[in-house]
Amino acid sequence: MRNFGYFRAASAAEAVQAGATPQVHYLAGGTNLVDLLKYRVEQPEALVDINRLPYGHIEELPDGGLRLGALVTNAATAYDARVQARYPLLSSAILAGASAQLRNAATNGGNLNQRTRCPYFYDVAAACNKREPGSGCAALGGHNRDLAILGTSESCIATFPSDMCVALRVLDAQVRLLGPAGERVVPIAEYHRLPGAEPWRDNNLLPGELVTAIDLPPTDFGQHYTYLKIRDRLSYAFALVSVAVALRLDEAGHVLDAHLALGGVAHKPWRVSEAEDLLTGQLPSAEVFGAAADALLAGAKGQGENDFKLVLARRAIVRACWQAAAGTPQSQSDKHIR
Amino acid sequence: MVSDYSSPANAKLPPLPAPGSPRRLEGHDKLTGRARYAGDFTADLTGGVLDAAVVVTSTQATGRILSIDARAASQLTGVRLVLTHETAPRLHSVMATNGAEIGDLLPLQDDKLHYYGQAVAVVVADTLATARDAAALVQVTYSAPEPDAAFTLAQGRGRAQDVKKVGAGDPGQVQVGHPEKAFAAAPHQVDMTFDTAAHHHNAMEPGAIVAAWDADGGLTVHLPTQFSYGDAVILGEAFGFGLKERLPNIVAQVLGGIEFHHKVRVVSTMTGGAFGSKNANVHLLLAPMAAKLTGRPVKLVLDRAQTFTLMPFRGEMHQRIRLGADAEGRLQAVLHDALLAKGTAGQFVAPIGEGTTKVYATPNLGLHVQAAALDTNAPGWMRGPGAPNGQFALESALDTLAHQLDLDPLEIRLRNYAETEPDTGKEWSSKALRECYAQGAARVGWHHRNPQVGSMRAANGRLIGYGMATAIYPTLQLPARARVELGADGRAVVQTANHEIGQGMITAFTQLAAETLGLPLEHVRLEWGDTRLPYGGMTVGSMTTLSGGAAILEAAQQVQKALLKRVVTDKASPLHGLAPDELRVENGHMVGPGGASESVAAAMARHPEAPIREEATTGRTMGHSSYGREAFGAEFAVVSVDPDTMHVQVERLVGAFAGGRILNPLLVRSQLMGSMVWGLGQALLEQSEMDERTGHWLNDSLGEALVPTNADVADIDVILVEEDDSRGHPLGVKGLGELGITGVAAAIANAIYHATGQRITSLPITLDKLLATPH
Ligand SMILES: Cc1cc2nc3c(=O)[nH]c(=O)nc-3n(C[C@H](O)[C@H](O)[C@H](O)COP(=O)(O)OP(=O)(O)OC[C@H]3O[C@@H](n4cnc5c(N)ncnc54)[C@H](O)[C@@H]3O)c2cc1C
Ligand code: SF4
Repeated sequence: MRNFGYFRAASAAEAVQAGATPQVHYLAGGTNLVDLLKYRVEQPEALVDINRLPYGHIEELPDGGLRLGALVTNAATAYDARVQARYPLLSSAILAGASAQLRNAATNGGNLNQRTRCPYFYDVAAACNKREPGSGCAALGGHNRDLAILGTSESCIATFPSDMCVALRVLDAQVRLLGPAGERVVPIAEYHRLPGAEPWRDNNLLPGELVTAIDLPPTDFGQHYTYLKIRDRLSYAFALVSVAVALRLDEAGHVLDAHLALGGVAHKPWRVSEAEDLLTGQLPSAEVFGAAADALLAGAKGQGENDFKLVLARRAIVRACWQAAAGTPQSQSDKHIR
Repeated sequence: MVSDYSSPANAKLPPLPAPGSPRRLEGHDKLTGRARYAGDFTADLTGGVLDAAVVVTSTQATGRILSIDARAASQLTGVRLVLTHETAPRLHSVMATNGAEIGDLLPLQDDKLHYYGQAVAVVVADTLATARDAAALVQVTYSAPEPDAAFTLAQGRGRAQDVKKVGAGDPGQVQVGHPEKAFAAAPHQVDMTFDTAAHHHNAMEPGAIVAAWDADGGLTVHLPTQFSYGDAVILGEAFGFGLKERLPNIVAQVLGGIEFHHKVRVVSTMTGGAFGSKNANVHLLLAPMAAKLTGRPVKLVLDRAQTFTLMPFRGEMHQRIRLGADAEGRLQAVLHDALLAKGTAGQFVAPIGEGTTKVYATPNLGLHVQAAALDTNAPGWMRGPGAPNGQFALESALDTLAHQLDLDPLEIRLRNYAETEPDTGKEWSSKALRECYAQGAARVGWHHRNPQVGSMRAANGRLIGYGMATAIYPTLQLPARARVELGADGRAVVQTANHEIGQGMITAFTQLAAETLGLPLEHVRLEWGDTRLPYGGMTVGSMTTLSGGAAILEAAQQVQKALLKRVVTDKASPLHGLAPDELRVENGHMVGPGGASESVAAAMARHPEAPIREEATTGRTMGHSSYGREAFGAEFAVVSVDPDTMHVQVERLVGAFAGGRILNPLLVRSQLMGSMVWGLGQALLEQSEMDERTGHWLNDSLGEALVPTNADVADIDVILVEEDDSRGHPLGVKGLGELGITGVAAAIANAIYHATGQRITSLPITLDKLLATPH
């Protein structure tokens, strides 16, 4: 059989050293990477198994935030009592994704680094700039119902499929990295990239860099939040459009602070400060939410099959804002949109 | 090796949920993983270690193979063979009774491409990992693709041709009266077109086969199939066995009762989901071809993507329905034009006109079926297989007519109730459809809904809608043979080469034999799924019980007759001297008047040298009857639609079905429920995405091909309506395996209309279609 190296790193230093070679991939839960190997989308020289590294815990931060270890599973994160109490939006977004079995295996670091679901990316016979730079983009003029409407480029119209990261974007998480050159911290806003002319780069991780943790700053979004995921199938399906909303309201119901981000529509979680500014100081209303939605979707462009996402996203944003304002977040166990 | 199930596993379970409904005898084994499917085998039937075979498929649909470079693949350690059209054994042509592709196109015989995902090579190696890696190293180069290829109906419309016969031989062209004229003259008209997407089976078990040649040149294969004898004949034809090799000659088997010990043996113990997909498949030939060249037994399992191109699916269908009615909503004309996608090879065209020709009374009707051969793999049988699509169109049009005339959709169906079979004028063998309408309507609360379109809302603002449709599936029967032997221990063995495809055949047949013989269930053992057993027919078309059950019934009745005759003439029996018809056999005991009795075991033990063995062949007339024989049902859907996102949630499905006598309500209920779930999937989710430029099915994985999950499935109510079909069939049963799917998409579409006022005429009904209309 086609052999590749397998190395179980005993320490972070060992992992980073081994991971710095091109064509070496970190293996976490394997729920995405192993599929990519089977489809021959990735053909690494070696895998560095990072599952023994000490990133499997959730810790309190001195400022009142939480540190989510990169190797904590999506399930353990979503069901952690502190996460549920203080960051219910994150818990909700994670539980909206994949299936129970996948969430039990998938890790936080892996979720951040999962690849797109564009069908042509997985089909080694098709042209795909992300998989094979310069080969073209079969999704343009092809089957693109699920693909992006915002921030696309002529070389790629793929989306970043994570649900968890849409919540992280709203929560202003910080991604902690360890690389050959030491540690650094990247705000989630700057972690993922737009496709531009280099669609093969999903994010700004440097060669050999390892995600060690995700830091959540203290927030006060425990009351007015929602993660609304719209999909054809109610479970075990990626989002056509998803909306994460977190609001703080004063006693009279005015919006003090609004964070909103979209999933399923761009190469990264999509957040626009102008949209949020439009909400600040306002009482909830269809007009205000509609204006915010328009600002969030400014510049959106359909690719044909996915034109409906423009209408769907606008309506989903307004609906999610109402859910958040009313303090009635979308249920992820029932999954029915109520 | 013959598989069998007596029922020890059942003993520990709590009481049965319904009388007369033993649980699946093999259920425990399936749940615990003990049941073995072909893909689970690690050795062939004689213990030979299996090599792994992996298929290489084309990444282009048309043109020719210019070269296949297998050097790198062949050099991997452990690779035994790279089979290509240049090295493959030449095959003789075969007849595929189900119209499958291999009847027209044998694999690996030449360099011509017919569709994307066609088998172009098979790699055999000592391990699966090596075979997979080698398969990826096989370099195939192609000539330029043909410029005018067509992969969708929209592209291939120009290729439409009239179809004489659809399905298994039903007419593709029907005319009663003067439908065009009557339509033109009708005061009320509906003229609508419908498009339904292609979708694939996505059964849990993919296609799989173990093939082994023996030293005498005989071939044994083990595979999930719905027609073991048919597959054996295909193998015999393809590999050049003649009658002198004593191939299983179906006609002789069935009609003459001749026993064969043939050189081709097909064994099929467990089939993990079939529904039409596992019959005369391409891999049936590929594995024996490979094994013949390597001289070693081979196992071949398709990967998920290969099930999209090497196994059949429900193809795209485009339909036009014209209804002409008088002011009371009585149909004056029904016109049904259909254009169906067909494969580049293969003869299958789905029967799509059951609804228009059999459901509603009309003096004038026309069915006009056309097919367009696309440059894709061949569509084939899939639960229904055309009825759900035909019903979606017809029942949507009828619903439209009802609303146009301001009639209750249920009322318009009653006004057009067919008292005799519309296209033939025959009397029905039985038809309790009226009761189905009534019981289904009562259960769903049909008459309590607000009939006005767009009028109903849930407390949370969701739009609520009620819809209904009629379900129909023909009642068919094929020849089948069974042998029943009552042994010296008073226990019976039943043999018939029918197939357990998940429908519960093992349980139903064991139960039927036990009831007929008067033995407890544990005293009957079924042997099935092996061409060494009597011909069991095809496990298709919802007729397993009708075909195989009839043969078992007859053979078991004969055994009982012989038994009773034996005891009344046996001086040692307490029943000696009584008349056979004075005796009842119950729970293993023969009981006479005045309390005289003897156990079957005791009677049989006196003659250990003489077991009672009877065989029966039934279905010689292929189910032809002087009656119209159809199973009907009424299906109701309640949907709620989110007013913003237009996401549709099915809240309830109620199906009331009349299927003659119900042998095992538990099994029947799960069949009907399962098919209703599939109907829900067809209505809202299932769609195989075709890349119109290359001919590639794109969402060819279980992660991307959307079938319903538990979250999508509503409350499902199955009502079994009493019906006496004893003049239609000796057992009084009808086919119920497919009926449940046929009206669901239509009922849901009609409910969506009631909720939203939007008439969506294409399947699946995804939210983008509902969002497209401004509201
Ligand atoms: C059928 C299916 C449905 C799914 N549905 C959803 C869904 O609805 N919503 C959703 O959000 N997700 C969904 N997922 C994706 C799932 O969330 C991801 O596969 C998972 O989060 C990846 O985590 P992992 O630990 O398994 O990563 P792996 O598969 O091990 O790795 C994924 C990638 O991340 C890299 N990586 C992993 N850990 C690190 C690290 N610490 N530092 C740097 N790089 C790292 C790996 O090298 C690899 O490139 C689905 C997946 C499948 C297969
Ligand atoms: S959209 Fe991006 S991922 Fe998809 S085919 Fe184009 S380049 Fe590849």
